Amino acid sequence: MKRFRERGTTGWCEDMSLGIENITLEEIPEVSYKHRLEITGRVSRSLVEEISRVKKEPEWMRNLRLRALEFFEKARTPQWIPFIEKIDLDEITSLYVKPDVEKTEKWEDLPEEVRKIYEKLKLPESYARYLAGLTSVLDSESVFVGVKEYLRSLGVVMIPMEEAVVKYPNLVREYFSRVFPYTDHKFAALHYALWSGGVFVYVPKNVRVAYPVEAFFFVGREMEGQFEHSLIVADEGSEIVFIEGCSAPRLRKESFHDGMVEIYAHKASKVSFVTVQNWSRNIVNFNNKRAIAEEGATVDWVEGSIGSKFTVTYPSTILRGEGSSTTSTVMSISRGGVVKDTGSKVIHAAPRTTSRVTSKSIVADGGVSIYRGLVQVNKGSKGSASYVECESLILDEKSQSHTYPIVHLLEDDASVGHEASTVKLDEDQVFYLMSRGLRRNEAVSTIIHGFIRDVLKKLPFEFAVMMSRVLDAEFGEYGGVG
Amino acid sequence: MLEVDNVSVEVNGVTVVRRVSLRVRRGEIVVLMGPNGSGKTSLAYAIMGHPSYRVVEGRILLEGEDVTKLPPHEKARRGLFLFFQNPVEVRGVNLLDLIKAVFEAGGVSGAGVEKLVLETADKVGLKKTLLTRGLNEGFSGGEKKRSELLQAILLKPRCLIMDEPDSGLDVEGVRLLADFIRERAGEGACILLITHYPNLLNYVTPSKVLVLVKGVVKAEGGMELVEKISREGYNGLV
Amino acid sequence: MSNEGVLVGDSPTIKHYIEPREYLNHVEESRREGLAGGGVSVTGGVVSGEVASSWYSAGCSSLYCQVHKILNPKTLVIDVGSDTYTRVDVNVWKGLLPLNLELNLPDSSLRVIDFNVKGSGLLSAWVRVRGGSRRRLVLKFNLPKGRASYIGVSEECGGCLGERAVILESSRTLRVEEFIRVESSSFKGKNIVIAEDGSILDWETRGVAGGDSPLLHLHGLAVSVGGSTTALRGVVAVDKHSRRGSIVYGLDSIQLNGRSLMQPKLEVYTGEVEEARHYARNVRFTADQIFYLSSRGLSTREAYVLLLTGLAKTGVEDPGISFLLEDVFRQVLLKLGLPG
Repeated sequence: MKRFRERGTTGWCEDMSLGIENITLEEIPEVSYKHRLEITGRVSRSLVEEISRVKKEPEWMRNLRLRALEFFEKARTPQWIPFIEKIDLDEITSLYVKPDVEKTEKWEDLPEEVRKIYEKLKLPESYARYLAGLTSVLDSESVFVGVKEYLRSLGVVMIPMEEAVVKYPNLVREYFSRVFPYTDHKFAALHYALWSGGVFVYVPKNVRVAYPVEAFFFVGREMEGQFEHSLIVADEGSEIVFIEGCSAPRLRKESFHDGMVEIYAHKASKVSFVTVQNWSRNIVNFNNKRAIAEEGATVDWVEGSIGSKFTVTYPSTILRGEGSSTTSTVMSISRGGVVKDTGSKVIHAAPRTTSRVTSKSIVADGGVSIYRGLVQVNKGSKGSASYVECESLILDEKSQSHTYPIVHLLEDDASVGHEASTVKLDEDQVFYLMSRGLRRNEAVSTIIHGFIRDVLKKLPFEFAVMMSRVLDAEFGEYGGVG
Repeated sequence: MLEVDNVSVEVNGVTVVRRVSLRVRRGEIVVLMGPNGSGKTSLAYAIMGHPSYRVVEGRILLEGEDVTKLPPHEKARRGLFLFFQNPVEVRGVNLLDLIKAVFEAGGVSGAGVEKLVLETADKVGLKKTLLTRGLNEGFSGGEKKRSELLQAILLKPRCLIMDEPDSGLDVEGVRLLADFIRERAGEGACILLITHYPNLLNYVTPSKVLVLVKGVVKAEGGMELVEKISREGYNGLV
Repeated sequence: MSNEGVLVGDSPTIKHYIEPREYLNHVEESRREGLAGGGVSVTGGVVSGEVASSWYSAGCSSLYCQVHKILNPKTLVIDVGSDTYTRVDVNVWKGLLPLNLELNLPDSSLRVIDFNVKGSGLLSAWVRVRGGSRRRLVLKFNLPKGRASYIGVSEECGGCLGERAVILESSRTLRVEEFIRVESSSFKGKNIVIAEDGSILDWETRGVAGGDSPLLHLHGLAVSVGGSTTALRGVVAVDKHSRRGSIVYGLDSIQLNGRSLMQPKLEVYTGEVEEARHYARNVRFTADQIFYLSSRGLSTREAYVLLLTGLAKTGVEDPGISFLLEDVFRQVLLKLGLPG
């Protein structure tokens, strides 16, 4: 709290201090942040050591976990997360849940009830037809790893993260936590202390993987935290598309997800990372995603965010090499008491780098959409260009949409633009469509589809279809029957 | 008179126009045709003096004066005008501002400019709202051409290079354009007309037709060349 | 004052572009030098009174504003005369000058108020403009090299129709806070800030639009030259209960050897809004644009002046204000010596 001594109102008393030094400098809170985040409970050192021991990790990894834990305990609670009031670590009891399932490589070897869940999510079909590799993480472990012969023949490595730590220690050590250090923020540190599951992908030089690979994360039980860590390293000239699908059945209590993705794109490589997130309504979803792009490399982030109660996702790319580029396409739906805090961060740290961000969000029924963007062009990044475009569609007067862009131009020779607009449902358009024979809810649905069309175009076909279906389910009856 | 004497043009180190010569006398209309990518626009830009289009060989003469090395605005002040095929958008600057600035730069008072611009806008069929918007921002193809035409009328250039002025214009617009060309030529201006479509040439008669293919003049002639191209395309000449 | 290393992990919010502790030190130092002599003199207006009590806008929560209140400034009421131009000379030859200025506009004709700050002492000032229901105003500020200073500007428009432009030139580190509240009325603001001589200019806006059909259009143009940094930021919010609001919050910046930081935040608390948009972009004139203008007869220098004055007028509707801004801005550019 600020404290200062009030002075007398008549004249100056030269030897009386103004008392300014008594003012405690505090971060002036953002206008919209009214709550403070409370973290209760503890993560014990012994729990962390146990996790490391069970995974048979080398010493450097154990030390990393412990250092991260230390940092987590000391670090200040970030105030830039609005709306979450409390995270109870004790409550997130089974922070580390090992399902009673042995890891298998064949679909048929999974226990029936687990297989049934996956089948419902249409996983085996996709795998067979479309994807090159699939790992499924059930709760905190990787349960099913199917790496097709195709990948194997290319020399592409795709294995659970834990396995990679043991099997390719030098390779992993070179990159693990280098893209996203645990000191970045409190939840990054928590993640590093508790990480479990996730996938390691390495694509050798000049190998172009023609089919997408997918990792699927599934939170099965209540009161859980999921801390999967994925690391993708694309060596020079390689190309890969990675799809992350996330789902959880309807659970009664809250679960917490604090995953992380690190991508290292070497010279002239191309990595596309697609996330389709459909967590159930009681998940607090925290997503740490970051990529480093070297000379001439391209990193594309695509995110379709449907579910969860509260999602914070902020894919970031550091354009470190000359001529590297990145794109980020985010689509989010916030219906009902859902908060989506999404955005993108791009740091231009080399000449002739380019970035393009597109964000579209739909809010209705008291939902909240927040876009945070940071574009920074460091001195020396001559000839760089960046363009950010955000659009938010608010369907009713109960909902909110906020945009917080930050543009830092430390270099004269760069071309940067950020534009955002918030639009409401255009009744003229609705009327026009209805006059062509559509019922009101069909008209609204059509407008919503049109709004989101260019983002859907970027998603892999199956996911575009899924998103489309979700949109229909969510908004099909919106606005009533005309 | 505009003289292009053995001019070669390089863009990014690549030669796009090779030893082209042409001459447009006062009152003459010379037509330059050619398939896409033949170097017509590059030549136009080089004559006007765009820094990226370098004249690496030859000279450009305006009324006998060697203007090859002069910056674009000096050429403009000597009466040269480029009617852009695709004029660039300029945010924050509108037509009124531009005309005023040009008049003032030329030592003519800016008073009464607004009235003059409004009248001319009416004549060329350019909506008033476009006069206060950023130059070419959101203008349709036809509107961009009308805006160029407005400027050409007001600045009264002595030598015009017109790069596909008719594309995107409706019948009425093409007629207006043709009237303007004939009028200016009648008053002694020299006109180098670059066109892809022979439409405009139904209304305007050139004294000479040149065909540029891959940066080189491949054919020279009169209206019969135009008719040949309408029938056969550029196939025979490529 | 260090500008480097300000990013904190993944957190996008950076609060203080001008280090507050350093400002406090400056205040203490200046205060020890004593209250600045000379004060304020007005040409084209009358100082009609000096009142002890003062007013502050809601939202005066920053450190700089808190300090301003502690300094207990007197409030000078200035009745602006019938002339278009009013000049207010503010002398801060040494030490510190805390000041509140309340300007009374007599009618709705175009007014230009020129604040000429002289001296290198620390200035902590609040400006409030009061006037009729229709306002057309241009505020000019000129601050030479000196101690870091603070200016607050407040604007309340309830049932009024106003357009205001500010053109501020500063060679010293300066923090400006602007508060605007529009309630069922219309307000258009244009802020042009020019930071010179390696200075830092931090301009923060808090704008709120409420009521029925409020219109709040704010356009900013920041020019940083000579190694300076301009930070234009703020929040414009659309009230939850407002209807049919039209909000535009746009920032353009030009860097002529300088840094530009922009954060135009937009908070929309209701779907019942006609238009809500913002933008932040930097301006670079392309070779094609210069060529185009050049082909019409403008020298490179003339082309730049045209382009830059065009930016100065963006978002300004009142032709009188537009003309004035263009004129003043052109003079500033000529004084600075344009590129090319």
